[in-house]
Amino acid sequence: MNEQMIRWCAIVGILLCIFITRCLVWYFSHPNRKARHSHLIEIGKEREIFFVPGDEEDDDDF
Amino acid sequence: MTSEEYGTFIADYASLLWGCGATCIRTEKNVARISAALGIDATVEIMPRHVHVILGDGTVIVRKMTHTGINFDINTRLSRLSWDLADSKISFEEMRRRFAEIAGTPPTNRWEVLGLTSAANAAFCAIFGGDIMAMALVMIATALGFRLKQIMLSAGRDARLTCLCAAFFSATFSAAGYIFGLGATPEIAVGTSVLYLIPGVPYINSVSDIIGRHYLCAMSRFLDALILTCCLSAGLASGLCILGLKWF
Repeated sequence: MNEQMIRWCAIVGILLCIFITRCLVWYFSHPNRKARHSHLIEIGKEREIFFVPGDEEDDDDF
Repeated sequence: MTSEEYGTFIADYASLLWGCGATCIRTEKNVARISAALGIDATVEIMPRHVHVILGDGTVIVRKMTHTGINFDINTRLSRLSWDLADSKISFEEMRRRFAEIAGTPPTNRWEVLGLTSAANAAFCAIFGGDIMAMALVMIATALGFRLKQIMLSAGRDARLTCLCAAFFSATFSAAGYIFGLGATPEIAVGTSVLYLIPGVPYINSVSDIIGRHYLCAMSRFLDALILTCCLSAGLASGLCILGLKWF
């Protein structure tokens, strides 16, 4: 490994350390991280995905 | 409604319109359209950091420029709002309600912006003749640099320092093509890895402002863009120097 490669790895390593540190800080400082966990696939209503302000409330589905 | 209330609204409108990336010409035209529709005599004076609305009775309303970042969605919706009032499609009350709605528009999802910016910069690399490896390097370098930019800006860091750091890390990462011998066009990867930081809209707007003889705003925008470009260049050059790439 030559000197250029070492320098490149060091700089990219610093950048990755910044991102990883930030992720860890966010993860441990967030009080509701478990409550915010969401499923990859779930059944929901159309209005949960696309809501236009002014839409009428429609609770008669069930 | 008093003319002062109209004037206050116009000042808020002009401030937001300018802040989201509209040129001075567009701001003046839209304000003139609204004033004519409301039947008031209002003159707008646009300065780099403030907007003054001078009413016919001599009242002057001053607002600080709103800085929302460049947002053409808000820009378009505000222009359409002025046309709706001019065409008598909506009342002033309705216009105020819609304006508040537009002003409260949340920014575009940051991950969406990150992905699209990375893809766009990789496409730039292809336009300049980069091969597929160079494109991949540019895409990753842009994603890393842009994410750093988002983090630093959300932490309230100076925009110039942010630009310098993002350019430095993007340029360094994209130099992997040269250092590890990846691809046939490593120099294009390095050159295009920082293009996403070029402040294109302020440059274009400054030319438009010069054409409209708004020299103060034009110079302000041009110098802002020039300083960001210098920071970008410093970041790129320092990355190349630290890696010992002597291409120039």
